[in-house]
Amino acid sequence: MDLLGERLTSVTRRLRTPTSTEWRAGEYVDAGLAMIVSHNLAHRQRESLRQIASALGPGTITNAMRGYTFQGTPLRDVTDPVTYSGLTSISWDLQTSRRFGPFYAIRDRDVTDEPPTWRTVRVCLDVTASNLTVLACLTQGLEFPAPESYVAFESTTSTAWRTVLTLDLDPSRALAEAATRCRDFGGETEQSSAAACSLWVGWYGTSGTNSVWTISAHEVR
Amino acid sequence: MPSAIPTQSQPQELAAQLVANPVGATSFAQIAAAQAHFALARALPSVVSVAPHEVTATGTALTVPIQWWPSPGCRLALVTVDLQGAWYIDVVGRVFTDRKRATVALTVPSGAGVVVGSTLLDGSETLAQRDPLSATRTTYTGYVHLGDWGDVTDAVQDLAVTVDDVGGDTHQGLAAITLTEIPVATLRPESGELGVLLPSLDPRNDLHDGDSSIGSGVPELLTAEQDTLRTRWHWQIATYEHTSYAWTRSSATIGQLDWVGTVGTSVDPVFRVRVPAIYGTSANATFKLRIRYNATEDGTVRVVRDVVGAGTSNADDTFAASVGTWAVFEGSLSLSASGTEQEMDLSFHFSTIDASPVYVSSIAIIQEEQA
Repeated sequence: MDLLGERLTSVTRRLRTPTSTEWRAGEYVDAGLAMIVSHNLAHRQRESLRQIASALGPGTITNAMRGYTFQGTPLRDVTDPVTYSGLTSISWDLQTSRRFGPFYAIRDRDVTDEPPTWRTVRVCLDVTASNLTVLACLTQGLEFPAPESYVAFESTTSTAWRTVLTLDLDPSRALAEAATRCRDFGGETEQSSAAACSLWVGWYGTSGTNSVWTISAHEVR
Repeated sequence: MPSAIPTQSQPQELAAQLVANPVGATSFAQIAAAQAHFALARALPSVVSVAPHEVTATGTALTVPIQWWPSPGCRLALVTVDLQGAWYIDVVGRVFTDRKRATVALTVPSGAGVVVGSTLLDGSETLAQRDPLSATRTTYTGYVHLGDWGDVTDAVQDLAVTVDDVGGDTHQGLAAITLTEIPVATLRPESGELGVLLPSLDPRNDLHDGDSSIGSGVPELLTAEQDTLRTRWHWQIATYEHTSYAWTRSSATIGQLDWVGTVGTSVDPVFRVRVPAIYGTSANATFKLRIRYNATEDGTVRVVRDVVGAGTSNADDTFAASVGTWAVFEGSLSLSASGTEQEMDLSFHFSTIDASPVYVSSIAIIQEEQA
């Protein structure tokens, strides 16, 4: 069965149900109303996809900047790999990337013959690309992108001039839930189990004029 | 007794409800209640995540506003703040840095409070700014508690994050701000929170049976399903609420903003969103459009809606002069989910009747209740 629940055939919207004041005490719930309530909850579950981030980008970027140095001096906490690929194409410093979140991931994506896993996060960048590479990475909690610590990574290179580039990130099962404070008021505290993750979006230009105008991210199915 | 929230959705086959008339508490109601609780308390929104621009070093306090309509299931929200800061000296081609200090204060709505995280976020604790020779961020965290259910009015609330200098140190603004609602482990309808009182779904009873002390199962369930719509989709962008740093336009002709500090006036940037389809993809859903602005004259705001794979349309509205103070424009906005994968590109245009400047610090689109 679909992890998100079953909807009525050909109905892709919420259906109206009686309000508590319209409901007459003592009436039974028949199978029809029960199906409508179930359908509404299944539809709600499908449509609960969230906006993760929305921001202006850096504008026009400096080509050939990988961010392993600042004003010519090497950074203290990342080492220039000299040969660049994938996640190490940039240093992920503030000259070459932005960090968004953390947000709390939801595990309701069906995978055939496997347990459910985390929702896909789609990153959309409004860019002007002469020869522009954009990169997106998900990390657990507030962790920094590193080859040994990321849970999803994608990149793409474009020469399409003004366009919206899309990167879909499927978090790996390494993304884990942890105890998280969820109530703290009046001397009472409570913890829940939740998987916090950060979204990192970076860029690298090789030639021509390259600009990142906006960065948006939302969940998709 | 608190109702435990499942960490995964609780699917149900419709055919399961053909087995009896009336349906039973175990075959239907308890599963539906778990699904409603999941939607009310687990799938909570990320309210805002923005990356303000770096400003020239200043001693002026700068505030970034946050607009938030809290979900009924949220009792605590996480706030994170990254500081800008790039102070250095260049000695014969080699950079030396020092981490200046700043303070960050979080202003919360009436009925809410700040809970300490990695810092107090109360404007008193001295925080180190970013080191430009470090790629890793210095992220400060705090929490907003909403008290008991009802302590904070069920409406859009204005919060603010303010960065200020310390002593002779100047600051360069904020690099990232996030406010995200934290999923709860339990809901407590017995103490007034939304949700289903599970004793009213006792499998030994018919579902319609009720008791004044434990409520009646059917209205409880119907209301809980309708209340799931109050976990609202949020979209927003924000920058500094200061006329020297906010986005602006000075023209009587409607057009794009000067996105100060980032995009400028180079292009008309678009923001891609996925539009929720509560009432299907063919019927537009209504959202609340809320803008924080400052203008000495009346003007017009236009939301350009470019449905991916379909056509473009404009939604125009007028805002009133705020007489030099920061004010809130609030209107409704209709968004179609008919685009490819329900996606739409949004851009924002402004004008004033006499070409005097309008300043904008925050634009938010929040799903309205649609039970």
